[in-house]
Amino acid sequence: MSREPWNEWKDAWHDTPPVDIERLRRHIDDKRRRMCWFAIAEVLVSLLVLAHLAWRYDAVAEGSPWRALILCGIGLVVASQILMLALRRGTWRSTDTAPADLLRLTIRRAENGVRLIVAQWISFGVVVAVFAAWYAWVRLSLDAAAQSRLAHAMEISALAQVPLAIAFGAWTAWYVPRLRRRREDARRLLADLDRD
Amino acid sequence: MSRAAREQLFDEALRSHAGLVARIARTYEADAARCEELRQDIALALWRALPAFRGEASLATFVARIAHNRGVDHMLARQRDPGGAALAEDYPDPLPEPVQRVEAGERQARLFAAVRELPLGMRQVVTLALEGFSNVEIAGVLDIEANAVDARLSRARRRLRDLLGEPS
Repeated sequence: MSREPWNEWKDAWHDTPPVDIERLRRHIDDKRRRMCWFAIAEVLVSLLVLAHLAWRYDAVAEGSPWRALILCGIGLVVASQILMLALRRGTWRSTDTAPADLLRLTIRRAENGVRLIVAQWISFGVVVAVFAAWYAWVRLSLDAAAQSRLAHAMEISALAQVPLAIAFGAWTAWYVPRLRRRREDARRLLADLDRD
Repeated sequence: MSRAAREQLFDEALRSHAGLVARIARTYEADAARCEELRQDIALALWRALPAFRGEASLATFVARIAHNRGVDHMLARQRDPGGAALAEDYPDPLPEPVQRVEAGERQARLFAAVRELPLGMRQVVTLALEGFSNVEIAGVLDIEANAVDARLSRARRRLRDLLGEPS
């Protein structure tokens, strides 16, 4: 082919207005500060929740089944915080990989995201089943006074979970198709990378 | 890498390669406001990625890789045709004469729009070639073979010529 159009394109390509670097730098510094404050706020909220759970744990009588539930809550908060930090780290770490690897990683992440949500629903189902069995045991085995006290507390606890379960269900309905769409888009772009 | 060294390298990268970042961003986004956001995202990603820079390749190729990766992320986030909104460009032009300014601006807008029409693999190769990277450097940025760069670039040029209506 003639080299002329290529050289003209090159000239046109580089004939772009200069970038206001100071302005760009200011925007980046603002974003960095916001991200830093957001991460600090997130850790603070987790610490507050942990402190509250520790206080509740201390307030509950030794040997009470509630202690096991509170411990589960503490484990859940710690695990979510670690997961959030790992996700953020992973997102940023991927920036210097090759474009094709980045797309493969995106596909894997989207698939893992869907698997994680399915796993969460399975664990939720297990928790509900265990809770139901426990509730049945309380109803069938304990004397009337103890049964009434514990069963009432369990009913309140179960009811409190209903809005959370509905919210998680709605979020799943919104997020899973989004993850699947992202996976398909990444597959399409990966194919596009090799298309001639 | 110490914080001061990182900040210094970041400043150097921005001062030397802000134009490269801006042009790559423009091959992923036609809308000026979104393109500006993408430029900021790329710069932020660059700052995050700098500790991984070992100096084995040039800073320019490192910046180019980050910019392309963020561009791909941007395409995924928008979940739409990457060539869309091609006519929405609104960039100031540096030339003094009004007629020249309009002509040069139009020529440039057509070129960027045509580059955005290319399949992703061709687009990345042609962008880097227009930036002046050698085929070996392009192969390094995209992690592909140098002969694949040759083949892809030659097809991309033909496709660009068709898109721009240039004679063969």
